[in-house]
Amino acid sequence: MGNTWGVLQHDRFALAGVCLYALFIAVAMAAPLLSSFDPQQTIMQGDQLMSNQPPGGTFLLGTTNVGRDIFTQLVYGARPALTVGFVAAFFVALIGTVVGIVAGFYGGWVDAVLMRLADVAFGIPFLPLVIVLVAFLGPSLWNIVLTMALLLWKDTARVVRAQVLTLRERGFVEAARVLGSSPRRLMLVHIAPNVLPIALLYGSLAVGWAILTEAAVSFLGFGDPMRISWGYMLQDAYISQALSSGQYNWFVPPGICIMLVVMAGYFISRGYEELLFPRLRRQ
Amino acid sequence: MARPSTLEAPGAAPAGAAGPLVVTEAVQKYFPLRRGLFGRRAPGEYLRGVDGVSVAIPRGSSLGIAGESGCGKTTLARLLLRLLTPTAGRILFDDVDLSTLAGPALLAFRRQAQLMLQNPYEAVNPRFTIGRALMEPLIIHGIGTRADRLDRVVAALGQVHLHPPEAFLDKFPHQLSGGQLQRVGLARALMVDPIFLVADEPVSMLDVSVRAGVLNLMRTISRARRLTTVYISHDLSLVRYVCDTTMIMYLGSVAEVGPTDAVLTRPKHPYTQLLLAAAPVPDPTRPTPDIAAPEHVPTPIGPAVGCPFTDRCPHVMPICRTTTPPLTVVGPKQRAACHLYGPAH
Amino acid sequence: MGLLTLEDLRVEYRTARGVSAAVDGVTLEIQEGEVLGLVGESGCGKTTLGRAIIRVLPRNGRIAGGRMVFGGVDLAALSEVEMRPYRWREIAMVPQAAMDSLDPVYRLGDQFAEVLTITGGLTRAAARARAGDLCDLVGLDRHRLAGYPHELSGGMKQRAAIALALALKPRLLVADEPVTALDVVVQHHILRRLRDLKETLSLSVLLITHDISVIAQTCDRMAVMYAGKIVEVGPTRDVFARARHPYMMGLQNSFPNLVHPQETLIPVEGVPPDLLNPPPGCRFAPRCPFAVEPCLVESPPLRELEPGRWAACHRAEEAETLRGQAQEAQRWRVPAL
Repeated sequence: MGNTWGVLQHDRFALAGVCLYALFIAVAMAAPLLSSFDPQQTIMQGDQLMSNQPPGGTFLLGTTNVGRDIFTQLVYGARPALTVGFVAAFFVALIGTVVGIVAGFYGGWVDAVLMRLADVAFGIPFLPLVIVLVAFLGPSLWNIVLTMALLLWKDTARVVRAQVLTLRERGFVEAARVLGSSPRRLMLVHIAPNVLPIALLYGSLAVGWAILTEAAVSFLGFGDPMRISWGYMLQDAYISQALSSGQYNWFVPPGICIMLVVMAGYFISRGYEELLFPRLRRQ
Repeated sequence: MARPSTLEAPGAAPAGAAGPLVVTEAVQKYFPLRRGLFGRRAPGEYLRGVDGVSVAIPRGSSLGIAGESGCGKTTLARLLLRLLTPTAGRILFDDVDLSTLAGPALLAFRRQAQLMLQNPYEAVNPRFTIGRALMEPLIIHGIGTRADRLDRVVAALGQVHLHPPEAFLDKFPHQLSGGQLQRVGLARALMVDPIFLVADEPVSMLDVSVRAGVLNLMRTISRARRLTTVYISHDLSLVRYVCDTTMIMYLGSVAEVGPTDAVLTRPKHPYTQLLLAAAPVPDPTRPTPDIAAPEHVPTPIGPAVGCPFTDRCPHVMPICRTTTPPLTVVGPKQRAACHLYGPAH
Repeated sequence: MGLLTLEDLRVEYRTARGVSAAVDGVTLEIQEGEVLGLVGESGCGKTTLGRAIIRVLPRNGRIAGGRMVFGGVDLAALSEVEMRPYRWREIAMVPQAAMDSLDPVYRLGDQFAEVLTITGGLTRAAARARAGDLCDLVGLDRHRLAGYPHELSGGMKQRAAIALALALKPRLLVADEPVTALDVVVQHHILRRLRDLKETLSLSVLLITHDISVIAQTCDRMAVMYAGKIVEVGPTRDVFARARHPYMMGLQNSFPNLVHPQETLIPVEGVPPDLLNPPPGCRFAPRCPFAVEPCLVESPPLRELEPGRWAACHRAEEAETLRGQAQEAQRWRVPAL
């Protein structure tokens, strides 16, 4: 873990990723400062609805067909993206790590049951489950996070479990057993910290995945209508036929933002991977 | 079931003191082998790890367990420390059956019986500093107060000749050499003041010139603390240097056991003789003996029939194939499991 | 006549922290038909030396100076293409942990066939016959060729690795720790076999190991290596009986002897120097009980003290006295300077 700064210095991509993240986080937090409008607000100037305004002047990126400022939406859209991204990734990493550690450590029927559960999660298609949950629980950001947490932990779990299986056999774990460590202590003090790096790696990969998923879900119309997210913007643009009317200022910016944030996540995880597996580093 | 006998080896506790510290009674550890897609176990499909070993280890003595790979010495070591449970037979530690221990009693046992690992580079959690690693046993057993613990750690580092002790507290394992790490391993084992120490090939992964230092340290410390020690080693010269009693194992059974000098200079079991002939010695003037025995060690699967050494023994007789030889007295305190010395002769 | 003569060979590694000379000015001669033992501890450079001879250094390693003369040709100066006719055909290697280097997904016979047909240019039929002969040569059951490496024991795998090395009838075999991970009986048989092969194939063997008892049992002559330099060379019997370099004396002191057990083993305190920044003067001086002023200043050259007997020690002439003093444990506890 100590070499983080060194790797960042070497790996331009990871550095770029961190900067991008920082930028988007700053934008998300400073949204009210960057724009005086409300993202849902339909803007009137005098009597006239400012719809489909071209980019320029007050409306940096123009307006939508119902007169909402695109720039405002873009800037506020960072919030759900990042929220979903980080929260979902956190839960995915947490559940996956806990399951992986318990399954790998105990083995036997515990392992079998948990891994079969993972297989079930593997088998359930994501989007239909979102649709079902949305139908029952209503469209909400948190339902999307919930679905991701329910389904996406399996990859992390599998990888963590594999790591635990090797860790279990290592000398210092056996030494700890002989010293009198309880299983709980073994898992918390010896196994978990050594598994954490790879769990975090998969967690950081999950951020990008979560953001993409949220965008997709919103794009398909199952997103949270109360929150303007980039996916929502894309959907909005799509159903308002922005493509055919050539309103690039509407649908291109959110697409680029999604791409940038996801890319940033992958760059960071790539740099982190080099930290974990130094053999990947150039000599 | 052979009854255990007490080996009064030199260096052991004086007669009249409590009996042997560790007694194994025909302890056996079989490992099931799984075959086929669904893991159906055919009867007789098991690996004989330890096959009926009965030995008594007097207090304060040092027992060397030697043999080739697969002889069961590592498995036996883990049975003695209750890292594995026997499939038959039992192990008594201070007259208490190990398999009955649970909860606080088990934790108490863990204070009394400790382990030194073979691989020094893997013995300490790579994320721990040396100081933290040495505090671990104190934390687990709730020994001492916080301030106290640091003092104990420093004292332990001094005991294993890691000077200056303070300098090692904040170092990480990857910053230490193999010899230093092995000393840390020893210090850690001693933190809880054990009375029983099992050392699994403690110097096999160290450089030659470093081994002597660690061995001398172990010898000094176990004598000073009157530790009962068990050394697992494939290297007979090491056993000769450190142990007062030697036990030679083959395919899970005891081939020969007795005072080290006797077993290694007047070996009675053909397998011991084979090991001694094959062991290289740092003396170019010693002629290399001819060894007729094939090198291939069979895998002990299924029930044992007769003497395990039959395939490789130069003195094999018909009885060897049918009857397992019992441990017979072949010298003062020396016993070998061989029909050559049985009642038939 | 020297089969392979190393002249002031220097091999460097580029690391993140600088350049270290793992082999630093090694002069050594391997005769025809002899087993030369090269003994030293981890980090002394013996494996690097072995790999340099056959020119298979890792990417960050390179031969930085000196010559390796084999049959009149300096191997160090050859290009990769020019080296190919030598590698495996004239000089072959059994690398460390060779038994783990057998490809687990190919049958043994196929691995033999690959070497024999592609590098050796034999026909498939000839290769098959030769593979069988090689198995007999090393004492491996011919039937094993039809199976996979994981079906073999450690000893069998090692024999297979040796057979592969001997496939193209090299004149020099470099064996790096050939018996380290094996049980004593297997070890005995394989070392025996290596000595027999030396006779029957007129083969020279460079046996690299950390174990002086293996050297004692197997090698005609021996060389002791420390911190990148050769410190002693000579016939095995003489080096053991009359060591000239304190490090060799230290090794003998610290090696437990099964047949004549020592009362107390005397360890050599301290650690070898960091090759990134070797000390001026003799590299063993910090740990040497006999170091004097000149030892700290000038690195002793490898000198021929008697015909065939070399040592790199300023006090080599006093070896007889020093040998006696080397038996005193307290001398080794605190280095002289």
